[in-house]
Amino acid sequence: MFAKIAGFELRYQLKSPVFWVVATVFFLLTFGAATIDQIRIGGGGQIHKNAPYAIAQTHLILSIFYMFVTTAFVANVVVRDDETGFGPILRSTRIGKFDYLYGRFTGAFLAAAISFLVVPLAIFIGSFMPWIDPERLGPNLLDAYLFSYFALALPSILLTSAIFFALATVTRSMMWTYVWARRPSAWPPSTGRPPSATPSPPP
Amino acid sequence: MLIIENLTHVYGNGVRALDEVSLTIPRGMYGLLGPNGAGKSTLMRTIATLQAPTSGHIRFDDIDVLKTPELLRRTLGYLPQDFGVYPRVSAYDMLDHMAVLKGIAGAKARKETVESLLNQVNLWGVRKKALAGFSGGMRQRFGIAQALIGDPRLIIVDEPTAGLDPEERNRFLNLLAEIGENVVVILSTHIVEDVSDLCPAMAIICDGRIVKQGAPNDLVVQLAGRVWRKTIDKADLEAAKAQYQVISTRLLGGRTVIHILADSDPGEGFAAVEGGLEDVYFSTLSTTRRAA
Repeated sequence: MFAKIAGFELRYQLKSPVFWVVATVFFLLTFGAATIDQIRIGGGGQIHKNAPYAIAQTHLILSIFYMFVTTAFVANVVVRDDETGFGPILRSTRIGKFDYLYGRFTGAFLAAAISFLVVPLAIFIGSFMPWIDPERLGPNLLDAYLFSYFALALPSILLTSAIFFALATVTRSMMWTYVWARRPSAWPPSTGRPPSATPSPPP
Repeated sequence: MLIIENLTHVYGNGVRALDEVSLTIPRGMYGLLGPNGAGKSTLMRTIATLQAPTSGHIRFDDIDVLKTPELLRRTLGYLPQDFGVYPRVSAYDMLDHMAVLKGIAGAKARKETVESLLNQVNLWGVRKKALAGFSGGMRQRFGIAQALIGDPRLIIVDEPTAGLDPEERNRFLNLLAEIGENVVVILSTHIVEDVSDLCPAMAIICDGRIVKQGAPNDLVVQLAGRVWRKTIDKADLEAAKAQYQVISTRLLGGRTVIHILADSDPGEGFAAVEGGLEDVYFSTLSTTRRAA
């Protein structure tokens, strides 16, 4: 049941406009940084625009901005049933807490991770653009892309996904999840739950 | 068989939605008739294990519903009142997902279940369309399809015909009538015809209490000879209400037709009516409210 719920969740997220808007925005942002001098993400790559250090820095910085995106993905999972009114049907089935929460979290996290693939993709494609001074390009090192994506960006996406998923589960509110996303200093909430929090019983 | 004993539910704001409700519901279609706000949905949600009552017991065959809700959920089909659906998901995908959640693990078994249900509720032609774009009647048919997944032994449908046009309503009632007689089906409604069309047994709920139960025919027979009708001017209505126990008023061609309850012929131009279930319903509500 776990894998099928995760699969349904992933397919659902891939169909959502949020996924494609995010992928487009992050692709263009990274592509711009990789190909023109007016857009810079971090200070890396003084010589080669696609140097391993520049790739790593771009991944790190963008994965922090990506926090808002993961919030949208994972908080949607939690609030969707109550927002759409499908909740009562869902809660009358035999789905267990583990499958419900972790299955859906896995699906949403995978969607966020897939969407972030546009970042290494944009750097890679950018390195072939004809208007870049060939002096500023080094060889494309596969290791650099793999390391930046899997070792730097992915853990960060997993961490933010988990934090905001937990927050959304407790508050059952998209808005409160965003409020906390914008106030990292407030984790964990020092005053307990936000004032309007009304946790429902587990499904 | 579903047995409900002394079920009471008091909401946080002090509203007593259910007051010592006791019912024994046999296999077959069971109608729960009551006005809006009578506590029907609270009762349905409680039986469907979505909320815990303040006190009381519910037993379904050998399942203690309140102690082991997860056992009931294995054999429950529930169609809630006004449910919503996810955007951008097709009828087929959603039904397939529901089949997963209801524990049909095998891909082949699931495909067969989903396809046969889509055919049964006549949604096969639109199976690839998004549910969110469905009309009210189509959505209710999807609702009953998901409730029937996995051959449940207890099916709860809460106000399924509210808001449907007559044609869609007929179609929906026909679907309900096809459900086997070996399962318990509870149909809650405020529409008298839903019950008289389908249900061999029924109860009337008002202000959180069961005020009448039995077979619709028996209830109609009990009332025989006690309902009288007269056509009056609208201006005379208040006087009539003061004098008689008026159970229903209806406009007919601009004049008012009243039905009253009286043990003997009231004279004054009243004619005897062969009462129907509607008179049973209205007389029960009227008697209950007078007592209150």
